[in-house]
Amino acid sequence: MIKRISIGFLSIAILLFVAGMISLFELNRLGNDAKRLINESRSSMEAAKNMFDALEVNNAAVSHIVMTGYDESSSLQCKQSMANLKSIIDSASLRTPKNTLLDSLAVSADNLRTLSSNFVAKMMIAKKESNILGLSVMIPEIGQDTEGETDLFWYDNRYYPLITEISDMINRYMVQSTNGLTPQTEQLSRNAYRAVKPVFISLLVMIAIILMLFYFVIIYCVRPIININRSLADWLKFGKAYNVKAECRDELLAIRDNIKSLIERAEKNAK
Amino acid sequence: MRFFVILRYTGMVMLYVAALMVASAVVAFFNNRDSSFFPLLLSVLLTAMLAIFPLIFVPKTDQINSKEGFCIVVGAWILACVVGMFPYLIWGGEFSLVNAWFESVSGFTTTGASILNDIEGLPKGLLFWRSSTAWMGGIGVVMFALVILPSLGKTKMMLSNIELSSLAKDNYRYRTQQIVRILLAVYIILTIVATLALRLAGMGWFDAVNHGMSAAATCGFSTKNASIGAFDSPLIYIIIMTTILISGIHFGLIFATFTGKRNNIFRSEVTRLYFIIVVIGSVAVSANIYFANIYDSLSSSVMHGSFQFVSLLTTSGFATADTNLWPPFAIMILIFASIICACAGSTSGGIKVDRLLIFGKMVKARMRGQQHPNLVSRLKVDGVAQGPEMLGTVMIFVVTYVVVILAGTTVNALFGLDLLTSVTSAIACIGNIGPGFGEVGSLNSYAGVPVILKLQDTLMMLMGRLEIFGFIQLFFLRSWR
Repeated sequence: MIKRISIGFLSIAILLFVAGMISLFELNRLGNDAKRLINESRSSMEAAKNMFDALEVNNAAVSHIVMTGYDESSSLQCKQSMANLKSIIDSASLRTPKNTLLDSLAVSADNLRTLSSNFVAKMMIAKKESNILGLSVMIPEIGQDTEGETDLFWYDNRYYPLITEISDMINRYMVQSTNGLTPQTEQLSRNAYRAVKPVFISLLVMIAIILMLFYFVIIYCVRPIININRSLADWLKFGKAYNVKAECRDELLAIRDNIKSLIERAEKNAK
Repeated sequence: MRFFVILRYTGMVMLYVAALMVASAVVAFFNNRDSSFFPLLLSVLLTAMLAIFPLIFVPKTDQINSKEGFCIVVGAWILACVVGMFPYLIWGGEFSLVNAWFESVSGFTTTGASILNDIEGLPKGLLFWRSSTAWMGGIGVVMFALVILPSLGKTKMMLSNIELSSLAKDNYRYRTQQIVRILLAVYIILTIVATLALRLAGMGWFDAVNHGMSAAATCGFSTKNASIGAFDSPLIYIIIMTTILISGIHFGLIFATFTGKRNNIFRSEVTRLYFIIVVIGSVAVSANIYFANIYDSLSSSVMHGSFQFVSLLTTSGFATADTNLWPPFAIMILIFASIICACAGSTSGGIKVDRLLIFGKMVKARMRGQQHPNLVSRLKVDGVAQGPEMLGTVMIFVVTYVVVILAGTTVNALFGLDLLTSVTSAIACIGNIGPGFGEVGSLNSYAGVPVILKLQDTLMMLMGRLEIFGFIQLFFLRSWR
């Protein structure tokens, strides 16, 4: 009986442990999923912000060159901002592959880089030529390209529209990232429900086992003791024959048999 | 009634359910530990604990009375369905509590109806578990355990007597131990042969094993959304059709035929009628769909027409075509097939050809009785005279079966299903067939059926599997002395 009851309680302990482990495991997984979701959201927002910054720097540098002519620091800023924009888009593409918007953004950024670097190179040549001629200011003709386009015209009609297009794309990328979080958040809430289910089922099984244990203890432990006690009392009070039926083959059966031997010995002594 | 004895023996059956879960977990493990591995493993643990607990406490007993035996059989079926839904529930996806219960009951009762919209989205471990429930249910969960269990003496006889249909026992002329061995031997051989044939016909090993198990159990669970039609291979259609056709015959007769005994399938009146029904039904359906220009060629009409007829007659429910698109005459013939079903002593459900034969002979005897009032005639099946008790049982069963279908149809209609769907889903569930017509057609699922009707359907599946009275008796245990 001791062995059986021990096994009973051990089973309950194992189930409790399993239920606990499952809940820990599932909560941990849920926590990781939530963390991943937050990180994804944060990194896409950061990427968008950095893209805007790079674009802003490039715009400022190009505007400066358009207004005041070529200078080394603006040229460097222009180059660096374009390199930054490219690396930000590349890393965003790595995080979310097969994103068509990012692919288009990369193409537009490449166009912008080509456009601005060509412009800076042209302005650099114009400045060198002015220096050779010993002029204090750039010759207006030099500011024109082969098609006779002025710098301001180039800025308004070619550079600025591209900057606006890229800004729109970055805005759309931000919206897309935010919208993309909605199904993931819904999935997270479903996962939370799913995480509770194994624990809930384990607890239900544990309740079934506890009920069975209770039932078996009553049938195989408590009831035989009551029967032995009742039969012993009947023998003591009324001298009725000691006769107890037992469903078990354990310590209680030994008690019953020992009491029977004791009664037989007492009856023999009495005679 | 000793409740602890019932717990002990149902626990034994649960151990075998747990063993099949282990097999499914192994499948999941070898498929890159797919997402069903953990749910199956946890289910094994929970089921094994529930099973082992009574075995530890309750000592073995050889003496059980018929009431206890009945409770063990019915309890084992219900508990198998309960623990069978653990893997589905824990895995999640489309499986809510009711959906998991539906899928589990549908599997164990070999109904083959599903609530899944995307079967192919399930991990392989769970697909194998679905087929395993069908395979275990095909032979009967208690019978399955009895075959493998060490000698239980009188207990084994008592349990097998309750589990086996009274009609099925008539054809067995062996001792209990032999009967259960014959059943399992025929069942396993049929499964292996079907699996190998499907593999040779071009199916992958996984699909072949699953369809082999499902076909031998006449269940109809497939690993594909489009059922057998997904394979688009006449050879596979023929193999599946042959397997389910054989599975619809009395297993004792199949054994007797292969061991050269006298009482074989060629001498059996029931089997003869079964084949006559198959031929007439297949020809009628094929001709109707051919002349209605559903298919271009005669061969396609014969293939799909006979496949669908055999599939519904044997209560399998596999599909190669959308029968909703067929003409009304073909649909009516298929509905008749769903009501008649195959032979007793097989893995199929429904009224069964045996009862139809007795019923027909009773009608004939009644006609002759009216013509010749002093005539004394004995009704015989396969040369064996049938007593009035057996005839009464058959009559009561047929009438009750029809009443249950009508009741089920009424409830279905009450909750908004159209008439065709209401009638055919009631027939499909009580007959353990699976697909019906309308919203629950051959290529549809029960996903759109209201929750309350899903519960009613599972109730009807269990009633059908336990031959109605076995289930109803559960509610009248107090009056059983």
